Amino acid sequence: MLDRKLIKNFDFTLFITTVLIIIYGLIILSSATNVTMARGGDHLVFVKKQSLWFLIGLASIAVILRLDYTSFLKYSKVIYVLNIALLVAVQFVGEEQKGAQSWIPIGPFYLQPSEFAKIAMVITFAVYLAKREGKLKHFRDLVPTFIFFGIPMGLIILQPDLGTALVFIAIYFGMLFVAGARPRNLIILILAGALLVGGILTAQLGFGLEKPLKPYQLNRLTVFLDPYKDPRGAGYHVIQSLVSLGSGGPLGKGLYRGTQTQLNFLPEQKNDFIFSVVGEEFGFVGAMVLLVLFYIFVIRGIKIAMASKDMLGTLLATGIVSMIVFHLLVNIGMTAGIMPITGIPLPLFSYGGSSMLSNMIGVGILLNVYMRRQVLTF
Amino acid sequence: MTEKVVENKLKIFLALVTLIFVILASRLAFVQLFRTQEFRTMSDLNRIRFVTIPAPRGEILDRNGKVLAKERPVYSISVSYLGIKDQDINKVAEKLAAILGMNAEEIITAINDKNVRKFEPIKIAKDVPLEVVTRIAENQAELKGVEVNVEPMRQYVYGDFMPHVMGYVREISPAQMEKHKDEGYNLGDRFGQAGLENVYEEYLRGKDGDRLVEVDIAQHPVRLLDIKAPVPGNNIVLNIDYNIQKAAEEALDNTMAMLQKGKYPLAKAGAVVLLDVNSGKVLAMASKPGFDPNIFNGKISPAQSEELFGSKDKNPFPAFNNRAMMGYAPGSTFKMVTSAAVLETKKATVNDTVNDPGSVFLYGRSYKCWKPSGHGTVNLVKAIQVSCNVYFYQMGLKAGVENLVKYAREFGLGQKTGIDLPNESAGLVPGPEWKKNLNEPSLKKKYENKVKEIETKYEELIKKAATEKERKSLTRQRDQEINQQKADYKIKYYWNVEWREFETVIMSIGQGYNLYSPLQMANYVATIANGGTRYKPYLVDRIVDYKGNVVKQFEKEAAGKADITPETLAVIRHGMSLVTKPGGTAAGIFAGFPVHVAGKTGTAQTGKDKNGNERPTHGWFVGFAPYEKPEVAVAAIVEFGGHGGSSAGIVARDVLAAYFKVDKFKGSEGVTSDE
Repeated sequence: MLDRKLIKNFDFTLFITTVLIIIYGLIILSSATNVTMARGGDHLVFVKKQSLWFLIGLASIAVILRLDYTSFLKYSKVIYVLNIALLVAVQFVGEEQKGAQSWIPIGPFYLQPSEFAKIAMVITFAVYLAKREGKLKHFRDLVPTFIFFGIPMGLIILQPDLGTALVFIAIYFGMLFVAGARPRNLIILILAGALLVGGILTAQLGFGLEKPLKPYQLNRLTVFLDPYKDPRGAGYHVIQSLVSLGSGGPLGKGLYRGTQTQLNFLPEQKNDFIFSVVGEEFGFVGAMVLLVLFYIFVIRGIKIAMASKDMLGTLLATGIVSMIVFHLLVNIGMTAGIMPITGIPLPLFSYGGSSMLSNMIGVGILLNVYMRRQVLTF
Repeated sequence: MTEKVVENKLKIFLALVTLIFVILASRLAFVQLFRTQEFRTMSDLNRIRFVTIPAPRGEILDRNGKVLAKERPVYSISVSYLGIKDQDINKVAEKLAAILGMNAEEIITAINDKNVRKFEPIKIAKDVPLEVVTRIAENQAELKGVEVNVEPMRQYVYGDFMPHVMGYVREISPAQMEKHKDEGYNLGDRFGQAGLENVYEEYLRGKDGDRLVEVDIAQHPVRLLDIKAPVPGNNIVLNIDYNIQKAAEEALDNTMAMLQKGKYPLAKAGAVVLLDVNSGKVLAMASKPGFDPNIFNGKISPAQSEELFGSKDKNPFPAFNNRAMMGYAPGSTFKMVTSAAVLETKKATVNDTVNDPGSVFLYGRSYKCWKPSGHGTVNLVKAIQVSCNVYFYQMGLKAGVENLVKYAREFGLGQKTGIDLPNESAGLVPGPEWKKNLNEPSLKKKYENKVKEIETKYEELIKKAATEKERKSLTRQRDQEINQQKADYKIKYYWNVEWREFETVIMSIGQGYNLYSPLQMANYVATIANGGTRYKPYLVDRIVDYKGNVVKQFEKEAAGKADITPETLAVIRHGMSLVTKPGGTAAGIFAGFPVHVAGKTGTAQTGKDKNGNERPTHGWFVGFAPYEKPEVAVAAIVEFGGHGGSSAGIVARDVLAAYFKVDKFKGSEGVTSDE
């Protein structure tokens, strides 16, 4: 059984915030999937599936809380190898959906290893950095981390899943920064990366090259700057999403009443563009409520990082917060037309079992670190 | 690193995160609070829909560019659920039903079909006349939610013209969707279901386009924003010649009608194939009875289904089957295989003769020739000319069944020819191995079960037996019964599993278990005619895109080279050349024919009907022409048409007449041959 002291240290705020976000998500999901189902079908089938994943997520949190997070020190290598194995497996036995080979069919479900890869990287990188605490001052100390991150990232780019690869970069910098790498070195890395990406984009846009990014990928990355350039292709997504948000106004059109949503103008409205449904049906107020819930979540995450008794806990919390915040930025930014279309979900909100489960595991780890923040004496 | 440093870094981190939230919130405020009016107007007006424009399917043309299958634009009527749901559905349905001449119930059922998503239009009627479209337009106010669309429909220009080759199109089935899921099919798309339509689906289908339209609340398009034109499918150009094909179909129809009026009322089905012997190009392929593939554009009635697919009792001649690719016993047309086998294995020479007194006694049985008085002394050439059974019984035995099998296969019999049509029959070359595999397992199982049954039965009895004596007698009884089964098994094994000589005898003249399709038979004769090259028969010459560029050109392809000497083939050709000459079995029908046709008649026994009466024979004719410099090979069959020379021979002759442009040849149709 869990120690009484541990229960006393449970972060109820974080937990309740999480549950509220998920319930909010289920309500919106019921609206988003209302129209795309056959008229005679079960309208709530997606809500039910998502609820099931929520319950599985709660069970996983319960399991995670019983283990001390310091045991990650022991299992880190196993997790790293398992993660790589799954990412390799998806290349061979994976199924392609929406242009990326990211899914492994298991019975009636589809496992998306790249969703779990994010949390696996947070755990393993936290262990890696915690063991090298204070030894990250020099630039050469960072070189092994390139390989550490490069292998899984390369596999994810192969799928190709650019969105998830970007999340990796966010996790990487967030954690390195807190772990003690010199900001100067990190800035050099960011600049070098930006220069490389900028160079590639300029070369491709300027000279019409078709590598390394395929034309459609490039188009999706740049179309948000001027969606009317491609109103029937990638721009269609951006335009319809903006119209959904904007026409929602301050208070929204009401649940199940968003014309954009209910007439199926919105693309991918249960996954990537679910935030547009919030904006259309509950308006600015509804969108703000969700943003505030996420903000509370993130602040609690950072507080946990601060309160942790050791570097490992701090880094775990930092990694998870980096991951969630980057998802929010890119996903909500995409629906609001200020970020490229990269197809990453809104955490704890978009439909999808792998994403829900991996994010809830993240919550479990945060709660775990907070619970064991005091050095216990026996 | 101290705690303090980490905490400071986390504070910076927090500031950065807060900044991100502020950026997102400001952007949302800008879009949702300051641009509300603009976007609300857009959302009210902006009801953009993608409407698919189906790509026209490619056409099918004959070798001279005559269009055989094309697309015809037709009006279709659909109902938009979102457009109709707020109105009195019954009233709209009744009004629409009155205009379309349908039952209102049908329309309401279709609208309430739960398998359609809310924003998808529901199709009510297809191929409606223009007057109906006009009436719907006039009554638009009362018919909110009713849409008129133009869509292409398949039209087979000449109705029931070679339907088995053309095939047909119909809505893609769920199984086909699953199989072709990466090829961009949508539910309701058309898909080639049979024949060329099926084989060349990927070339014929084209690429759908779409219109980006603005719709009003009732989902009526009000403004066209953008259009992506569909790319029409590719056309396919056949090797088939319309005129020859037409002659082939008429030849079958006329000959069958003639036979039905005479002694053969069951002559209701048949097929004919004409091949180019030097390439394998299919110049004609007809099968009767036929059907009109245009009927697949609509619902198939039970009567039509009966006609197409038949049933044993009501319709023994289903029209859907392509008889040109179905297996039949070949009868005497098989005798060239027997000839090749005996000559190639040097078991007999061309000059060896056999005396035919009308029958022969072999392995304890008498076998008759078709001519009761016999053919006298015959050599190989003569035996082919007069189709002497007595000669070939003995030659078949001399060559041995293994060699009959071997040379049948050399000619491609018993194997798919590889033609570009689905569902080709491979036919069957029987032989010892085939027979054993077919019958041994079931016989063995039956025997073992019987023995086990006896053993269990006696086990019980022996257990219950009162005295030792009784037990002994029971054991004896059991062994006796088992021995009986063993003996029975041995007899059955001898007859049903082992190949018997009499089977070789009847196989030599093409009876027994042999099964070959007219297509295989035509290809076999083509191989004899061209000196031993077995080409893969092919229907399509080239695929051409809608702009006229050749996408794919098909070339002749040798599927194999028969391992038979040119001398043997020459002798066989010589024998066949005499078949149409005086004294030959097809002399009557080819008398006066201006091109020298080499051929062979065949008459295949069909067994007894359910009342135990001998059924009429199938008539066969195979041949090639001109004898001197072969161009084409033909094979024809008329089911239950009697003798080959008086049924299939006429069909083949008329097809050859069309190929050689012999003006309405007036050969005798009354002169019958007994073979």
